[in-house]
Amino acid sequence: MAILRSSGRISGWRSITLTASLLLALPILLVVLSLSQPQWQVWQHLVDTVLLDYVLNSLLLAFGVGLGAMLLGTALAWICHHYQFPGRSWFEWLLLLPLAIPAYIIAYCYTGLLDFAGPLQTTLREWFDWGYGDYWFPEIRSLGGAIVMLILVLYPYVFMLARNAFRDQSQSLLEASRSMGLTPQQYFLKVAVPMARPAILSGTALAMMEAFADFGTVEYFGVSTFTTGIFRTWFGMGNHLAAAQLSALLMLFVMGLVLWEQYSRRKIQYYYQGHKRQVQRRTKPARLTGWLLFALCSLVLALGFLLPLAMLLHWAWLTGPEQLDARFWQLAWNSFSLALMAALLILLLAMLFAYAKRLKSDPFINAPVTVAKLGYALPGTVIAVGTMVPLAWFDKSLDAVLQAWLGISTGLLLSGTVFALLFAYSVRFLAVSLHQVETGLARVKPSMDMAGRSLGLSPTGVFTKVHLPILRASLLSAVLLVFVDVLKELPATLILRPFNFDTLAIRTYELASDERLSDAAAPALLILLAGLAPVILLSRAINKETA
Amino acid sequence: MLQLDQVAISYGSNKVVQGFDLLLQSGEIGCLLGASGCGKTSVLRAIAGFEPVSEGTIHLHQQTVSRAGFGVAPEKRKIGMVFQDFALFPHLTVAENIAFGIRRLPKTQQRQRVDTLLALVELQGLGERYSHALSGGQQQRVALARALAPQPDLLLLDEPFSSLDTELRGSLATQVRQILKQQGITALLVTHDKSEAFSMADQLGVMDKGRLLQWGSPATLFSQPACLDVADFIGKGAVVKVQYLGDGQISGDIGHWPLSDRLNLDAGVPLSLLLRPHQVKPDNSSALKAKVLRQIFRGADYLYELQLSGGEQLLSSTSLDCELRVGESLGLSLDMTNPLLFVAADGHSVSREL
Repeated sequence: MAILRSSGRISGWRSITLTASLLLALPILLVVLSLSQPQWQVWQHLVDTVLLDYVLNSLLLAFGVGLGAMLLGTALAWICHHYQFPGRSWFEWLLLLPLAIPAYIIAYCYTGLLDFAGPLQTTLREWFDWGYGDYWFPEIRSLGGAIVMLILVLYPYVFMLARNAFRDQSQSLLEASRSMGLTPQQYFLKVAVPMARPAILSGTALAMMEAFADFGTVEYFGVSTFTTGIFRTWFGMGNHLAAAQLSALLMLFVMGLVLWEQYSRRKIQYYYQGHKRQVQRRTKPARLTGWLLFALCSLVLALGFLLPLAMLLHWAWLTGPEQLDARFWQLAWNSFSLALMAALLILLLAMLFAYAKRLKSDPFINAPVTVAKLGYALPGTVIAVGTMVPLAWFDKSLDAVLQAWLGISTGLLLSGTVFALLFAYSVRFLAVSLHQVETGLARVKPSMDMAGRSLGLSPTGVFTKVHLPILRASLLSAVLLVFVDVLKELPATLILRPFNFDTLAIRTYELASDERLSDAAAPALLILLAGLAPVILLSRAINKETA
Repeated sequence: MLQLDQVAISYGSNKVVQGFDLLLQSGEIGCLLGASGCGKTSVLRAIAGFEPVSEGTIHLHQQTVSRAGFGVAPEKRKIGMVFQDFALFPHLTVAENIAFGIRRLPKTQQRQRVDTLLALVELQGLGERYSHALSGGQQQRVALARALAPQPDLLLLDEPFSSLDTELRGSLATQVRQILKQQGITALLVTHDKSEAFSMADQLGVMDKGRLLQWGSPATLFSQPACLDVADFIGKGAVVKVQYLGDGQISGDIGHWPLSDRLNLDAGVPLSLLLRPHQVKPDNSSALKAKVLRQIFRGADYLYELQLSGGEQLLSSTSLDCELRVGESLGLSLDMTNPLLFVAADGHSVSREL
């Protein structure tokens, strides 16, 4: 718009923005392009052996998690919206807490708890004097177990969106329905849920994307899915092209979800237009029912958050003293500095793109940015593969050119460096940061730019004195959200990290894979605590909206 | 003071404003009236310096501020602006918003000026609030105070009342006019609401499709519109087809009517006659008959939609004691002392031979 209109500077910015957006879109485009060179031999092998497993398990996982999260999230949202029971206002945000725990960490916790050697089975055996094989106990390390684990930490997506949707339904809507002869139960089924459907489906789609993307849980439980398959094809078989093609196939599934999600989201706006509404009054259930609802919410909170947290604390208590050595702090430093670097870099990119869009909508920049934003929906494994391919190509070409011309070998300049990690994180988390910046920037109306100018500010002055103060909160949450996302990220880091470069997430994964669950507790606990920050931020933002 | 000379504004190859002339004297309040999309906001933005002009010049105090390929930066023009959405800064209090344009002054002077302005817009004691805690009308007055704080040479107001309730609009418009007049401020307002324009403006212009159709006092525009579009925009009325008979008479569905002046036109030229509701009165002795189509109660009077036997429709306003039923037939007298006649082909007002 009107600020920053000095043509020379614009074209300079434009080329930087254009280059950045193309680079970020590159990994995704390359994964798609990999399909043009089919690796028939590898595919034949995959089809004969594991491909069907990958497809079936990935689909079962995603749909199982989707269904579970949808039912659990919607039910809890309705309970918290409709009934006045003990602790209700607390549960509104407490039930978001499971979002703070990465799925792979909750999987470690429950394995420790429910395994043959875990406290639960041991106690049962002692009580009933059973021996090995005398009794049936559900196997946690299975597809079913993975589904349950993921539901426990992903239902908040549905819970959050469904609750917002229910809250947007006005008292007059309820009264109109009742006056037309609907019972409260019928109102729920015939009006509340159908009206909230776009929001519920949008949350479900998000949970399913996470389920497709999950690597840590399924890898630990030994369930073969696409993500573990890609990892194995890459490292085990060393066939990078085939890994890219598997990634492309997985991407196909996820893209379907993305389209579905966006379609649902568009409908949300359409379903909820109108002005200020009167919030629905809550029903006060019978005393016993009230406490039952309390117990139900507490149970979910305990399973999704308190129990794993207690488990981690217990283990950390046992192993803490020996774990908290110099190596641990090095690990923490690696993780935190990497996450901060990534968060700041991604913020810079997001601001670049957001401002490019605000100043002048440019299809040459918008199109690659749209592609890059898809990165958030894509599994870390896919993005890692998409990152490795161009970087390896670049390193090889540079090395060859320099060898031929100057006789110098540069070796691997970019692959296997922090640069590769930062690049992959940028693709994966740009959308998170961009969303925050764009939301913030939307609050700065174009007329405010003009008001600032007419009150004597230069374009730079408008940016520092008007934009930055208004954006401050959005920029902070952009940094925080990406920071925590990077801290939790496992598969891309695992594939791309420099040799001997460990992070908290990697260490947790490695220790757990070595069956040293209690040793994994300290780094896992640190990730969990950091993960609480954005959840608290989220619930505060929601509370502010309600107030 | 403010002079626009043959200004054109283009977005790409699309000319949204062209051949635009305007002159505003010091201390006058001007108003551009037009439907949305007519280019009035573009003119305002060009004057403020947010839109480059592709042709013509804009002068402020005999100084060129805009011409093709050149424009003084908005912050250097000493122009204040009030926006449709008020554009108050959400991170600042009311007092800080008002002081924003005078932040270079010493603190004590800033405080004094803010207090004076708060009193001027009758918001004493609200200086420490944030804008979201104010009502729409209050926000509007803060926006005005903020724009006035640096004592601009010219104040621009972009649809300043359109986001307010209808009731508030009228009273606030009068109040704002009073403040501007009292402070001797030169201002230019754009709006699509004619009652707003009437209550604010000394000089009024009607815009359509990027052109200024007419510029003059509200009374001139009402009684001597330059074309049918202006007449139509400025006030309600019904258009009937008539023909010039060549001898100072017109004829049509409304019958034969002599004009007080001869027209400089050939006989047989088709004309449009705009009849405002107050020019059409029931008169049972008249030979001109019409049927009542609809009755609209307007509080102070009735507005009747009438149909002549030839099919043309008229509007008539009557006092409340004249109650007619739908379908009833009545005689009409027309007030033809100052008829609004336009050439049907191009809508221009007919020039009269005096």
